[in-house]
Amino acid sequence: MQIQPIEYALFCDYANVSMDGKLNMSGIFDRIMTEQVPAVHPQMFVVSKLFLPKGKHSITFTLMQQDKVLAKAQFDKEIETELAVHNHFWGIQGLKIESMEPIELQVLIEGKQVLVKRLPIVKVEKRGEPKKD
Amino acid sequence: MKTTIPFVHFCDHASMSTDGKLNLNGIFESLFAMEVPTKHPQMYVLTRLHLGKGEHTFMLTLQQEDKVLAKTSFEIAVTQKTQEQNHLWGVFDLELQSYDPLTLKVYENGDEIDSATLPIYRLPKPFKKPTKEN
Repeated sequence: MQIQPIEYALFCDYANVSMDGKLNMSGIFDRIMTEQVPAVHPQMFVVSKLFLPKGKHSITFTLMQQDKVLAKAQFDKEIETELAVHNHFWGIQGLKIESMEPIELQVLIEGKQVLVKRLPIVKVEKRGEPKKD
Repeated sequence: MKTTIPFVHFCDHASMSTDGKLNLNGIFESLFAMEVPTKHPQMYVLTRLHLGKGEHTFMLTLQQEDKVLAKTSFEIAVTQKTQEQNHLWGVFDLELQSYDPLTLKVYENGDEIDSATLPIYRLPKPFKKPTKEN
């Protein structure tokens, strides 16, 4: 049976693991709303669940807009059991969004792309000024 | 288009905020019990559905072997070409009869389309404090 190396990757406002090993994800979203670009997204977390076989692994997470890399995280993980589950948290602060092009999350293991996920950027109208009496 | 389920989460609490964002608290992938039968006081099952245009009828069951412990049904009408939909199911006082794994089964129009399993582990009973008489 072929095991997918990544079960999911979710964008959220905040994520943590409690002392009893349970995962908490607050504010899971699948699009970004902005009035204008360029804009700065103050904080987000990318939470993913990876299945890794025994051995050393090089894992790369990248957020891109077209060909431009907005943020990148690379880490190595050594697995000593036959198969391990790894929940990965990537916290990103002050992400600069340059255009209305969708953001693309790319996950690579050993340089091989295992996931691409698109996060659309949606333009919202400016809130109206309050009416003067 | 065939319905797909990108992910399922079991958690202590789940909610949707007014801005449409999803909150999942206490996601777990196994259950622990010192003895059976026992009651799990509260859990939420989040199912993310990727749906095509049309009307969909779903049934979710939580079962141990062939015994259905809880079930829910719902309908979704999709007017766009595709739609991603979160479904939250609150399950209270779930009676676990044995240490057999708990299985979530997802049915669409009576056909099983996906499943997810939660193993149940036996926890050792805590030692009793020695009393003065002992």
